[in-house]
Amino acid sequence: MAASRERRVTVANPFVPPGDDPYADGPLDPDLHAGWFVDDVGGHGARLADFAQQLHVPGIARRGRLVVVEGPERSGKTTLVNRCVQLVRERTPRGTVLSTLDLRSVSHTKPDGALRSGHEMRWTVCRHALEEASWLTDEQRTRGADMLERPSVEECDPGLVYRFMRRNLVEDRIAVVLLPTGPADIDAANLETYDGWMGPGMLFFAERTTTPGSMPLVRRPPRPDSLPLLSLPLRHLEPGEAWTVVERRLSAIPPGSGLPRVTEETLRRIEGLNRDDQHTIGWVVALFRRLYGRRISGRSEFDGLPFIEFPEVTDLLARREPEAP
Amino acid sequence: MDDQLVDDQDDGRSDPAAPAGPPTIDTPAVRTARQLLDDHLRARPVAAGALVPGSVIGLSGPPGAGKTHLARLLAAQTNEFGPGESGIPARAVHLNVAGMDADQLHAAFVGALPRSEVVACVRGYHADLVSGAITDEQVAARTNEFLRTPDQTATERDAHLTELGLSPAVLLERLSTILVEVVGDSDYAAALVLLLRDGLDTAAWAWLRGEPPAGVLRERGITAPAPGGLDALGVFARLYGRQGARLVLLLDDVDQLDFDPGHDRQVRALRRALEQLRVAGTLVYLTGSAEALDELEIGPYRRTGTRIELTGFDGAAAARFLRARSGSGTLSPFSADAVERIVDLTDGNPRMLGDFTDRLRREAAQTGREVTEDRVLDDARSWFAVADRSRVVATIRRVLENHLWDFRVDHVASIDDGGRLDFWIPVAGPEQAGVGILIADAVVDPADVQRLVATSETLDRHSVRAQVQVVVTGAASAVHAARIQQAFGRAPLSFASETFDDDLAAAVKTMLHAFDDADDADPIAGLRDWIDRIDRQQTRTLDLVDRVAAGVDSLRGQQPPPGWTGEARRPSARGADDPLPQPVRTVFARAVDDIVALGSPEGTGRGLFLADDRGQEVLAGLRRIGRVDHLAMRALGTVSMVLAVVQEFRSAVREWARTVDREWALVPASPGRRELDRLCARYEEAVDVLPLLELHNLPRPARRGGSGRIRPARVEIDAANRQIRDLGRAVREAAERSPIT
Repeated sequence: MAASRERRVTVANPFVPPGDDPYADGPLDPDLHAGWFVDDVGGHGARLADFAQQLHVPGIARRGRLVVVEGPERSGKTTLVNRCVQLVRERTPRGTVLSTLDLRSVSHTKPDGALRSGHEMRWTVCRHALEEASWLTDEQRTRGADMLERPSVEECDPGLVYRFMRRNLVEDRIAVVLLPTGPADIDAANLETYDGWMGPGMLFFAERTTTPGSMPLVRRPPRPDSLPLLSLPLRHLEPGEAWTVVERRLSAIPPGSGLPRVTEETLRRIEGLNRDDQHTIGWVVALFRRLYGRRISGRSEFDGLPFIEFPEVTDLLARREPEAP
Repeated sequence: MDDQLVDDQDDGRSDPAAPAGPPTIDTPAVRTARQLLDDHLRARPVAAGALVPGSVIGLSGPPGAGKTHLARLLAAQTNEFGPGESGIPARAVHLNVAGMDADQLHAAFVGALPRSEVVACVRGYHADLVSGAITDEQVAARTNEFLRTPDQTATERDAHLTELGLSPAVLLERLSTILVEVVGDSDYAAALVLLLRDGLDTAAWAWLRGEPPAGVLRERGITAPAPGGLDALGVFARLYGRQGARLVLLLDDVDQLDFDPGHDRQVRALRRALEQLRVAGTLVYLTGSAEALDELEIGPYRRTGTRIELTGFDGAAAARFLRARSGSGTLSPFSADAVERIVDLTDGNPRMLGDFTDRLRREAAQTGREVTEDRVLDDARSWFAVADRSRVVATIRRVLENHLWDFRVDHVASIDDGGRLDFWIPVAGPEQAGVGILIADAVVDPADVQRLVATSETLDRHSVRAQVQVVVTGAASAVHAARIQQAFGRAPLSFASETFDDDLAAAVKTMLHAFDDADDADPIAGLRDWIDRIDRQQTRTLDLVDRVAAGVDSLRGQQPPPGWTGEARRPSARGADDPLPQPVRTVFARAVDDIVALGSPEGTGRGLFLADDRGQEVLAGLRRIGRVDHLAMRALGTVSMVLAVVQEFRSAVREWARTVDREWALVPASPGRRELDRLCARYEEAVDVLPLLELHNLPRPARRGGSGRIRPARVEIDAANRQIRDLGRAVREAAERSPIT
């Protein structure tokens, strides 16, 4: 251990944004991570471009929209939503008030650990909205709370809260609502309901984790007060994209830092680690963050070797040691 | 190998003087059953991924042979085996299925499976799926090991899969596809997968156990309750089997499954389920009668499985049993001759042997004397007596009447010694030919046998062509029974047998057929016999019509019933606040008293806790009734029903008396009279549907010093029967005689 401490490197981990917890593995937020690498892999650039092209902020006041970012686990959905919201902010005209209601922290589980049913989840989303939407009046909050207290599923209409929210959004005021990600297997039903609640002045963002067996989203008939649902699908990395992500970060390492390098051959072997041959940007970045974290902290048995080779990767994965130092 | 448990009594009947827990004796049947289990638990599949073959093993034997206890022993052996190569502990599910229908059996089976083990099986499939997706062997092996960890949470598992670049959601979808193939049902497969998801596992487990689907399951396409039934047993068998986990299912008393009469379809379904279990690698033990196992086609020459017959102890095994039960390791207080005699009397049946020797041991402890053969014989007469002679006669009479056989009672075939037969069914044709039934209290020593054989010899001497069936109401020594069989050509029937009625009817039919088959049989005799039986049937029907007509006439004329005195046996305890006139009160009080006097459930245990022998006597009576005398149980139930109806009738009449117009009796069609008529008619309707004939089987508590129970005389029962039936009319007449003032 003493010997490895001697080999400890003092340079920053090239896979951790400045100021971030090196052991956390969260999405990027353009506001917090300004200047960090913007990776155009897995369809990110194309989808952001799609959104930018269809975004007309003044029009939102007349016709709202539900934007659904879809993709596999760790494909960067939250990061893309963050980038889309930043774009909305940038394009909001002076004189228009933009409110943001972030409901992504609403939990899927109840205090006893049981998963919420679809109705319970939508009810909880409305409860949070009632408390956190700053543009609701006190009288609307009271009426909304009364509605949510109705015990019968048939009588309880959580959407009332959103109708109140829409009513208060006039020409010079729009709102971005960031919806929670539901369980992958029933998200389609939730999103259909959210689409019904959305209206003029509201831009809903939702994330949806997709698998090969996911139900397709139901596209409702066009409504006069809203634009059609906009789907922004992300995908797994294509061959070579993992190398692009890694190589960009490694190229920023200053000479003489003592950090090891990685060859394209090793990347290819890593990509073949599972027979699905499907990887995401989130996985690639997290894997290298751990590999370099171990080298920098001097905890790796491979310390001192100039390259990260494939056995070091399998050793790490088979070891399953905790992330934290 | 340890000695084996062979006694299946654990219901509180054990001897407090004997060591706790039943002793264990190694018998060939027990060794075979255990060896088959051991072979199964240690078996390895012939190829990777192949199933270890299952089997269906029938354990048959008479009641008390130790089937249930052997099953319990096998269950313990399985559960102690621990995890095999699958890493999942071997699991035994031991169920007593008596009275269960298919759905209850399924629910009990699933309820007995530990959730953690079912989850472990599903985790096994998941681990194999994941490790199969990883190309690096070291990583795959470590991942497989990790995913089988019992305490791992879904969050930890998903985090690890994510580190490996695998999608937890995609893998669960693939797992669902694999499990559909394994268990053969998409809903079950979906629910099993949900056991691996935090927040859904509880709802999924509840559904698997038969509860309706919760909302979170309905949203995921599981909209109906689990199919259940016998076929669903195969779901879990396949889940365990394909994962290499050992599942052993032990079903007790399969002959008492609650199947509908004419249950061919249900038997076929059970056979199919057993086959599914066998194919899935489950080892199934079934205990039941040989007939039930035959019906399920289990046995060496049947479609499937193995049959193990549990027989009684021989002398050596009985001696080991007694040594083990003594606590001291010796035979004391039994002499060797006594042991041989006990085996002879009990046919080595472990339960009977255990009960009987417990009693003998208790007595020996009190007297300080050794238990000798003579002592055994002496005790056997009272211990094995299940019925007094009058009840046996009544039962045989009922069986013969039900089959419309023309019989005579106490028939004298010869005036010589032994020339009397308790029942005689004459056979058309030559004189002095017929079927006889001879009742013996016990056959425990040569003198008992000699008395019976004397009958056989007397009949032969006087050229009486008789087929005779001996019925033994008490203890029967196997040695002496063989001598009786030799003399009469058929084994004696035990009245204690639960199937006595059927056995007796079958024996009589066989004996009658023996005359049909004789070369000199009169060809017209059979026809004559049929005509006679039809004639008798018609006579009975006409008799019944006559009695009903007389009853109706009597009601119309409001004549007092025959033998009616109107006198009270006991004054009413209710006193002046009872609105019923005294004569009506008397009618009710007498009816209730007389019914209770016949015998009632409340009186059955009277004296049970007395410290002296009387308590023991009552206990012995209860044992007889509870263990073998199902007819008496039914009769006691009937008394309760009759009492309840009579008391309800009294309440209704009391309420009527409280509100009726005092002038009701003066007006022929007054509302008060109509209401009383309605109450009486309703009572008579109720009595008509009660099985009053059952009262003939009523027991009476054992008397001090007596060796058996005394039943109410038939005449008493008949009188009570009439009294119950006539109570409506009696009440009406008593009310007429004493208008309310």
